Amino acid sequence: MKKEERLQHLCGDIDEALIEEAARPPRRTVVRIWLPRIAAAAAAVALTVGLATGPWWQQSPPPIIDQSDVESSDTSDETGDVSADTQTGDVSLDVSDVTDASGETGDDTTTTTTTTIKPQAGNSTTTRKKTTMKDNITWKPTATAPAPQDTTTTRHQIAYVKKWDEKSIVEKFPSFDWNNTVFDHYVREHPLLPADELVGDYITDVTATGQDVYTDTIYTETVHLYAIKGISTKAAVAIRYGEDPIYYPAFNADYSPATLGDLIDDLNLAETMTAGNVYFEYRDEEFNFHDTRYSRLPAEKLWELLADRSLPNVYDQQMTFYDTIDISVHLNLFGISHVLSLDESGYLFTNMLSTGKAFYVGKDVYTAFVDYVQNNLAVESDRVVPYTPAPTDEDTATTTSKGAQPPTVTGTTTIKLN
Amino acid sequence: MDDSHIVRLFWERDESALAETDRKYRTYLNRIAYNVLQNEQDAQECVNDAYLRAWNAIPPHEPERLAPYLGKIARHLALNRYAALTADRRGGGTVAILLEEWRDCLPDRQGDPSDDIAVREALNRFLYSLPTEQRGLFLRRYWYGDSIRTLAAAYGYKESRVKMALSRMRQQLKEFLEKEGIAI
Repeated sequence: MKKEERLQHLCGDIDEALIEEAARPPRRTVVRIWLPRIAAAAAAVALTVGLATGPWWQQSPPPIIDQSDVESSDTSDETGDVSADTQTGDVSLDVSDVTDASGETGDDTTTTTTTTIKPQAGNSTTTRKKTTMKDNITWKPTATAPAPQDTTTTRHQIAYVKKWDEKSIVEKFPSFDWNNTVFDHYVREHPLLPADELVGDYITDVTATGQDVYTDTIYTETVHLYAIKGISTKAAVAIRYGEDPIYYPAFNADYSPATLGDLIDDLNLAETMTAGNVYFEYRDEEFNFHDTRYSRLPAEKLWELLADRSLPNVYDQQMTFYDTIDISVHLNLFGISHVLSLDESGYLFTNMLSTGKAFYVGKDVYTAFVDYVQNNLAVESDRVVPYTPAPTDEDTATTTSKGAQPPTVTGTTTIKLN
Repeated sequence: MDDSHIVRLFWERDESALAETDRKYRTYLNRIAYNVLQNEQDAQECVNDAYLRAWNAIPPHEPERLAPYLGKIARHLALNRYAALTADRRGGGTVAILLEEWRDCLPDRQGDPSDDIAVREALNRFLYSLPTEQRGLFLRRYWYGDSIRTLAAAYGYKESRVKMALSRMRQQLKEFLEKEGIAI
């Protein structure tokens, strides 16, 4: 890779806040209140144009706009959405969504009438509070449940918040604090069975709180904590609610082992983990895309990947993994499946217990593993998407419908700002 | 749909996450990919690949900013595809022009290249040191791949002013990287 290519590549991973900021329309500051009336009017026109340009990807024609020039179904859908919104005069959806993405309300890109459903008090979509996936466990999509009694609805509402009485005990009290750490149930509730074989010593009692978002009532429940045999309490504990006899696992929401060895020991992976199929998406020599599922990975091969227990956990939220080969792994004790993956840059990473963990094993390991999988495991399914080559100069000279150049914007995409 | 809800759908392995992502961000991602590839069909394939990558990455990722998170993936895929296409002499010229401009930013410092994290952090510090408008101009040119003409229209400048501003910032970046002891 040339030096300038490296710099360009590394620029791709700059702070996401900067990328987001740059997508917003530039602010115009040329209007000054003491300008002569005619100049102010001209400036107002300029400002209006600026407002109408919207965020970055709406400021000039995106590649897919003109229905007459494009034939793919995706494109038709995209254009159809825009047209429908325009016809009803309601273009607020996309723009308000963009506002959500930027984390700002009252952005100067537009005015909008769309409001959004508030799944829980104080948890509107414009709240930029840092949340984890373990928050608000009741926030589950359902196709059949009735709409909640909420006047601030969106026309794209798809979720239903259960009433308090409809919730299971786990849903009512999905998390609790212990030792200054939040523990929760991941997404599903899974009883620990047989309890007498799995549940270890009693640890303590803590109090969990739950909120009825319809009445804004806070409830509390005593939670009895126990160790799980063979599992570190840094990672998971068994819990029992009040007089309820059922034990459930609860997981450290911020579990982060220091080394690969710690991960193996904390979760007793030698006893609790089994490997499943291997999944690999890649392009072949003709650039065709393959989405391939291979047969189950032998246990000894899985443990070869986990052999160096001293590897430090280097995961952080800024890491992005590309071109991964994924192994489905099952934690039988907890009844959950996760993924153990290798990426082309040489990281072994996993989402076990739904926290990120990454260990650098080296590019050679990735290459050798891909080679092993492709030459030793059976292909159970292989979805192939043929590559469509770019049109040649001759093609673009004779055919404009293949999209070698961005089509021009048609009149149907005019945005109203009221 | 709010980004946090889309991310939640990913975490719940609900395939409607992909539909919602597509509805909200296809245009945004398509433009990122198109700016690199200058070909609509390639760009669309890139965006579809980006959805798959996002599906595989979330969880464990929990992006706080979904748009740039997806944008990074789409840009990476587009650049990869561009490299493959140019290897076959079929690529467009936009990236080549941008690479020429990136060359202006390279520090003169010789020796072992600094590691990726150090370079990335230096880039971040440099960008945060710029006024907001200049920073936007820089990123829209070198991250989003906008043309000089597009930038001139968006910022209300003449094209010559855009070119001059970008040229100055490239020089500033070069000096900044040298000052930071960065070698590429």
